[in-house]
Amino acid sequence: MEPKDIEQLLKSAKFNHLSEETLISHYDGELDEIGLALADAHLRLCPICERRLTFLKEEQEAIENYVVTEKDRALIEQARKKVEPLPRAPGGITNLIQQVTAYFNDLLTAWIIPFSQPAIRGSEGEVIWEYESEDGLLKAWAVSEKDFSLTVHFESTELAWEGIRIRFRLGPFSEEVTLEHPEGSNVVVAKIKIPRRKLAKKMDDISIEIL
Amino acid sequence: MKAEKQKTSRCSVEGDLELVRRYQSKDREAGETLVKGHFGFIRVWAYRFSDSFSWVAWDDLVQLSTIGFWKAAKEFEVLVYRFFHPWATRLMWLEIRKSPEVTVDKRIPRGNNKLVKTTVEELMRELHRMPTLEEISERTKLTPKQVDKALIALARSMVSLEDEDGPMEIEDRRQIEKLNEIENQRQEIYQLLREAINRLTPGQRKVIEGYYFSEPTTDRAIAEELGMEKSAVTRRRGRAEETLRKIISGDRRWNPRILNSF
Repeated sequence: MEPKDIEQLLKSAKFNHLSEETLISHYDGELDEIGLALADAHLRLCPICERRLTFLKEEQEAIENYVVTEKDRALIEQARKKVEPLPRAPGGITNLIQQVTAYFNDLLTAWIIPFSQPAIRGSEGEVIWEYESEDGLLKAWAVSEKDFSLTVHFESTELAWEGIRIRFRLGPFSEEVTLEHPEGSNVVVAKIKIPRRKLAKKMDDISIEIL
Repeated sequence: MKAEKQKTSRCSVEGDLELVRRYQSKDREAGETLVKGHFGFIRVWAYRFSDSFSWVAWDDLVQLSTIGFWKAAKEFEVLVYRFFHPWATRLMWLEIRKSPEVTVDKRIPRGNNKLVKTTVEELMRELHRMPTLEEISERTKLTPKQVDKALIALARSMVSLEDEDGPMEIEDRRQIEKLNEIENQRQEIYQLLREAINRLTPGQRKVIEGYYFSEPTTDRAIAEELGMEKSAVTRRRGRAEETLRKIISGDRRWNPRILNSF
C-alpha cells in the first residue's frame, strides 16, 4: 500500500454512502467516536443519506407509535390470505370446528373491509355485501330490507356443519344462531336479522364466535 | 373492538430475523406478530410510494404494501442477509410496481434517479458541502421538484440488493451477488479504516478526524483549534497516516483492487 493510497482512502471515506448497518447504528447511538465522525461528515454532504436517515427515524417512530386498529388487522389478514391461502383442514370434528372458525374469520375480514367506510344503506332487497370462501364452501351475504333492517345470510354445502352455533355481534347488537339443514335441501343455512335501530354507524365493530 | 397496542415497543434486527425464521417454519402467529408490529412501517412506506403513485388510492397502496411485506417475510433469505427492512421495502415496492393500477409510463423516469445520484456525488466532491436542490437542478437540467422526487426515490431504493435504477428482479441472483460483493468489500475496508484509526494515539486521532472528517480541514485551522504549531500538526498527521498505512496493509482484509471503486 502506497502513502498516496491511505490519503485517497481517508479523503474518499466521507463520500462513501452509509451502509444500512451504519445508519441503524447511527440512529441507535451505537457508533464509536470515529464511526460517528465519519457518518456525520457524510451526512453533512449527502442529501440522499440524509433523507435515508430521516426515513429511518420516521420508520422507527411509526413502528413504536402506530396503534394497529381492527381495520388494519382485517387488512393484514386479507393480505396474508392472498400470499398464503389457508390449507384445508382434514376431517374429524375438532378439525371441522377449526375449519369453520377459519371460514368465519375469513368472512369477518371480508365484512370489515367494505363496512369500514361510512355506513352503507341499500334499497330494498339489494345485496349490499357478499362473501364466498376460496373453495366455495361457505357463502354469506347481507340484504337490505324494506324496513331498512339488514339480514345476513349464511349458506354452506358442508352438511357436517349442521348444528354449529354462531354468536354474531355488531356494535351493541348480539345474537346467537344455529346452522340448520332444511329438509330436502343440500345446504346448511342460517340468517340473522339486524334491526335498523341496532345498525351501528361504524359497521366494522363486529365479531363472530363459534360456540 | 379496541385498537390493539403493539406488544413490542420497538423492532430489532435480531427480533425481526427470529420472527421471520419462525414464520417460515410455519408459525403463523410469528408472521402476524411481525406484520402487526411493522404496520406503522408499512404505512410509512405506502405513504412514501404515494408520492410517486399519486393516482393510486391510499387504501390500495397500503393493501399492496402489506401483501409485499407478507411476501418478504415468506421469501427472505435468513441465512444470507441480516437486515429484513430493506428486503421488505423492496418487495413492497415490487408489489406496487407490478399492480395493474400502476402503469410504467407514469413512473418517475429511472434515468433521472441515476443522473441525480451521479450529480450529487460529483457536487459533494466539488463543493465539500451538501449541494442544494437548485444546484443539483441546474447541473442536471431537471426542475427542483423532479430532483426532489428523484432524491426521495434514491433514498428509498438505496438499500442492498438494489441497483442505481431501482429494485432488481428477484431472479437476477448473479447481479445481486456481484453488487453485494463489491458493497461488502467496500464496507469492510471502511470498517478496517475505522478500526485502524481507533488504534492511533488520541492526539493522532484528533488530527485525522479534524483533517479528513470535519471542518476545519486544514492543518493551520486544526493547529489553531488545538493550540499547536501548524508544522507540529502536519508532522503528527504524517505519522498517523504512516501508522494507518502499516496497520491496513498488514491486515488480511486489505484488497488494493477495491481502491478502484472509490
